[in-house]
Amino acid sequence: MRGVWHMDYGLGGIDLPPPMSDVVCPFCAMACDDLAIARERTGQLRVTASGCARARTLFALPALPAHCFIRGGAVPLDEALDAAAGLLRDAASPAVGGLAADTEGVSTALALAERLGAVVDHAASDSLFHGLRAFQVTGAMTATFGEIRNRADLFVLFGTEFERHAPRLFDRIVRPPTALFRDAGTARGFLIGPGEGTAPDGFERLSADLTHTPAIAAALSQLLAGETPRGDRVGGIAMEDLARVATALHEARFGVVGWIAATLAPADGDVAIEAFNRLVVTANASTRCAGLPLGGKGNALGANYVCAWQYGVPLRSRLGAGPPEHDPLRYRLKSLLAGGEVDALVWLSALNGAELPDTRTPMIVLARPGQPLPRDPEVLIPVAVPGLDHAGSIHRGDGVAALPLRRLRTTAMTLPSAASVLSALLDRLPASPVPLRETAHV
Amino acid sequence: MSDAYTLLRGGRVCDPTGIADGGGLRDLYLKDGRIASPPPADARIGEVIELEGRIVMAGAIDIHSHIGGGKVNLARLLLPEEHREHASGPDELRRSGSGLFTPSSFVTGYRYAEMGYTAAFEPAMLPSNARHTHLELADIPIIDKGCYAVLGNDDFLLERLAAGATQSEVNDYVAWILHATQAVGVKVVNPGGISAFKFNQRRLELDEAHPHYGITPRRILTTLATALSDLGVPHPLHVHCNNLGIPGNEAVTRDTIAALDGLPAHLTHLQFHSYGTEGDRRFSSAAAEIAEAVNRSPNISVDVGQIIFGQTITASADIMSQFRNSGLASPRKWVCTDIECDGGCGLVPFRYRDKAFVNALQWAIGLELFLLIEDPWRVYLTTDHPNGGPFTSYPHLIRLLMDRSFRNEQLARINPDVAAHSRLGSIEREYTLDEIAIMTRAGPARVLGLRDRGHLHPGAVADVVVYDDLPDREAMFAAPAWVFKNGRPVARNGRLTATGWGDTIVVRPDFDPAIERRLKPWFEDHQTVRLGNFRIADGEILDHGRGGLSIVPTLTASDPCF
Repeated sequence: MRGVWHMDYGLGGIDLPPPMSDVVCPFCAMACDDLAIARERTGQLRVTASGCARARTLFALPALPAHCFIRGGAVPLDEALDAAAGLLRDAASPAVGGLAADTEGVSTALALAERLGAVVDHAASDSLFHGLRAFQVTGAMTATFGEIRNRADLFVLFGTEFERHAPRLFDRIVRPPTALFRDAGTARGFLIGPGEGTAPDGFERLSADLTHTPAIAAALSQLLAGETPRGDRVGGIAMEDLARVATALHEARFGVVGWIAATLAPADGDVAIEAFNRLVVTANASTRCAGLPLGGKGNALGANYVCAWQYGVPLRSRLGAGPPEHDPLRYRLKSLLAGGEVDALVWLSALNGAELPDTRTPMIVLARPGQPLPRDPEVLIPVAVPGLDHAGSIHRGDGVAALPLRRLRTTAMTLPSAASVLSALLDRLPASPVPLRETAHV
Repeated sequence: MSDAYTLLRGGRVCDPTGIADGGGLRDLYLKDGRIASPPPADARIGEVIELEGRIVMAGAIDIHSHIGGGKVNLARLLLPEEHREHASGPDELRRSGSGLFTPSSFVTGYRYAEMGYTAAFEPAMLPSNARHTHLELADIPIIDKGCYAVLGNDDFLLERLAAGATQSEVNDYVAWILHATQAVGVKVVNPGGISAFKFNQRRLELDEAHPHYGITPRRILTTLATALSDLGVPHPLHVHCNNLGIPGNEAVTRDTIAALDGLPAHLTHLQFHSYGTEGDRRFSSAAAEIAEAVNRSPNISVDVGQIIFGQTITASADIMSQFRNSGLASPRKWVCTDIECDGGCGLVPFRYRDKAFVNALQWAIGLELFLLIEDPWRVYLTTDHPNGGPFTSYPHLIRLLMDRSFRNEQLARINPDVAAHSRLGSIEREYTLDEIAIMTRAGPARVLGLRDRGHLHPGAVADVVVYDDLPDREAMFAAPAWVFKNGRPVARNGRLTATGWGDTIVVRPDFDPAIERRLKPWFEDHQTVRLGNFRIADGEILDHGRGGLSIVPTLTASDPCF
C-alpha cells in the first residue's frame, strides 16, 4: 500500500494522498496533536487545519538537500563526523547544549556527554530552571491541560505575549469548544502583566510590572488567607483590584494560576514561581486551585525529564566525569560559554527554539535545515526534523503527556536523525570512560 | 542461539512449585535462555558452574515497585539532595546514575539484578502518562518490567457508570486500555476519591456517593474487579483501598474485602490500610483483624508495603490522601497534580523514624501482617518502593521475617510504647527459605499469570539466582553468588558482570473494538490528546532494540482459577 503510494508520488502522480490527520506539532510545548497536514506535489508539507502561525511556517519549510560542512566547506558525513570526533577527543571541558530534539535525540546526546565528561544544558533552560528551582524549594500544586479544559472556572494569568509563548492556549484550554464540568466556549479571569490593549472576552487586564510578581502573588496569598497586605498598591496594581482577584479565586470551584516563565523577571523568576506555588496551596485550603506553567519550546521539559530519569539529576549537570554532578548555577551553559570555560561545544538543534549561541567556542552543530547560523561552525551536520522526517516522541509542557511523532515527509534525500548522527559520533570516541580528573569548570 | 548447554551443577534447588524441596543436590541445565530438560549424554555442555550445594531459586519478582513514570521522575527532580548523596560514575559496564529511593533508570536495573530480582512491576501507570512510563522503563536494563494501568477515577469510566453502562461495555473499555497503554494489569487507587478531590471533597467512604457522578467506590471497585475476571486477565484487580493512612481505616479495608464477595483481587500495600483507633493515641495495629480477613478469603492476595526507617518519598496517584498528608512532608516540600480527567500524582517526602510512635507502629504492623497471614502464596514482599522504603531494603526485610531473634533485637530499639504493646514480640513464626521463594517468586508469578517465570521447570525463562547459604539472611540475599537473566550470567557476588535488556510484559484480552466509536469522540471533545496519539504502538517499545514484548496468556475456563 505504502509502496504503491510512494511510486505514484515519485512519478508526480495525479492523486495526492489525503491530508494526514491528528498530527502532533513538535514546535512548542503546547504539542497540539490535532493538525491536518497535506503533502504538496513538491514534497512540501502544508498545515490544512488546526495549526498556529508558527506551525504553518515550520511545517512548510522545505526539506532542503543539505551538505555537511567543515568551516564552511562542504564535506561528506563521514568526514564531518571524523572532524567532530577529533575536536571532542582533544577537548578538556566539553559541553553538549541546545538539546532541542525528540526523546531519542536527547537520550543519545546525553550518552555522548557521559562519554565525554561534558556539561549538559538546554537552549531554553533559563525558563525551565525558574520553575525547577522553585519546585525544589516549595514543591508545587498543578493541573494538566485536560483537567483545566474541563474544570477551570477562573484563570489568573501572569505574563505577556500569551499567543507567542502558548499559541492556541485560549482556543484549546481556556475557552474550549466543549467541556465536562464548566461552560464551554467561554471563560473568565485576569491577565496580570505589562500588556496593553483589550483583554479577551471575560478577562480583565490588570496592568502590572512583572518585576514585582513575587510581591503581587504574596499579597494575593495574604488576601486569600484573610490578612491585609501593607500598602494600597503592589506592582502597579491597586490593592482593591487585587482583592477582587483573591475573592474570585476563593469563590471559584477550580481556579487556575498560570504563568509564562519566559516573561517573568530573569533575575528572580524562581522566586515568583515559589510565590505562585504558595498562592495555589493557600487557595486549596478551602477550594480547588491549580498552578499552570506555560511556554517553552525545543522539547525543553522533555530533555530535562530524560536527564532526570537516566541520571537522577536535571540538566545543568556534568555527566560522566565521576558521578553525575548537578549545579543549576555553575553548569548554566550560557554562563560557561560567556566565561570561556568550554573548549568544545556540541549543539543540537533538530527542533526550533535552539538558536546558536554567540560564542567563539569551537562548535559542532547538528541542526535542522533552515537553522539560522551566525557564523560557520567548525563542523555542521544537518539533521532531520523529528515529527516531520522521522518518528519519535516529545513531552508536552504540562509534564504528563508524551506524544508520538510520525514521519510525514519521504523526500528522495532523507537527512539522518540526530540520534543516528550522535551514535555515529559516539562510535568514533574511545569506549572506556573518560578518566576521572579535576573538573575544568571551577 | 547456541547449541551448548550451561550446566549449574550440584545446587540445592528451592522451587516451591514442586520441582525440588531444597533437599538433595540437583543439576540445572540452561539453553537458549530457558531452563532445559536434562540433555542426552552426547549433548555439548558449554560452561559448567559448580554450585557446591548453594541454594538455587528462580529470579525474584517485585509485584509492586514504583520504578518509573511521571511521578517517580518528578520525585527525582524534587530531591536533588538525595541524588547528590547517592551517585555513581560510569565504568566499563555501567552507565552513571544516582538516587537511593528514587534511583535513576540504569541504576534501578543494576541494583535489582545484583539482588537477584529479574522482574519488577510499576504499579501506577496513569493511562495519560503511559507513553512517558514506557519510555522510562525502556531505559531500565536487565530486568523484565510491566505496568498496571490506573483506572477508577477516570471521567470516562465514571461517566459511563453513572449513565448505566453495562458490565460488557466496561469490560471492552478495560481491555482497550490494557491494549492501548501496553499494560499487564489494572490498579484502582482510592476508587472515586481522586476524582472527588477534584470536586473539592476531602474524603470518600466506600458507600458514599461521588459528589458529581453519584456512584459509590463500592460500585467502581466491584465493576472493575468483575471486568478483569470476565476478561480472563490473570492479574486480578490491584486495589489501593480508600482512606490510606487514616487511623481506623481497617474497617474500610475489611469492607472492601467483603464487597469483593469472592471476586479475585490483590490488595496492595496493606500495611497502610490496617490501622485501628485504640489506645491513648487513637492509633493502633489492626494487623490481626486484617490478617484474619485475608486468611478467610482465598480470593484475596496482598502485598505489605513494609516501612523501613529512614528518609524516603511517598509517591502516589492518591492525591486526596497525599494532600491530606502534605503537612507531614519532610523536607517541607510536596507536589500534588490533577491529571487529564484521568487521575492524579502526589509526592510527599517522608522520614520514618524508629523512635516516633506512629512510624514504629507502622513498622510493627507491616511485620505482623507478614507473620499473621498464613498462606505465603497470597502475601508478597514489598516496601511499596519508595513509599515504605527503597527496594534495596528487601534483604534486611527478609532477615526480619526469617530470624526471630534479629527481629526482636530491632523491636527493642524502636519507640518503647510500641515495643511494649506490640504483639510482634510474641509471634514465633520464622519464614523458611521455601516460603521466601514463594513470596518473592512463585507467588507473584502465579498471581501475575507469568507461566514461565517464578519457577525452574524445563521451559521456564532461565532467570536463576544462586545464593550462599549464610546464617545472616540479609547478607545472603543482598549479594547472590550468581544471577542469570535469560540464561546469561549478569551478576556475581552481588556485583554486576554483564548488562542487557529485559522484556516488557503485557496482557491482551479480546474485546469488541466497537468501544472505539464511543471513545473517539470522548477523546476529541473532552481530552487534549487524540485517541490515535494516546494509543501506544508495539513499535514504540520494540524499535529501540531495548528488549521485546512478552504477552501473558489470558485465562481460559480450564485454567485453575486463583
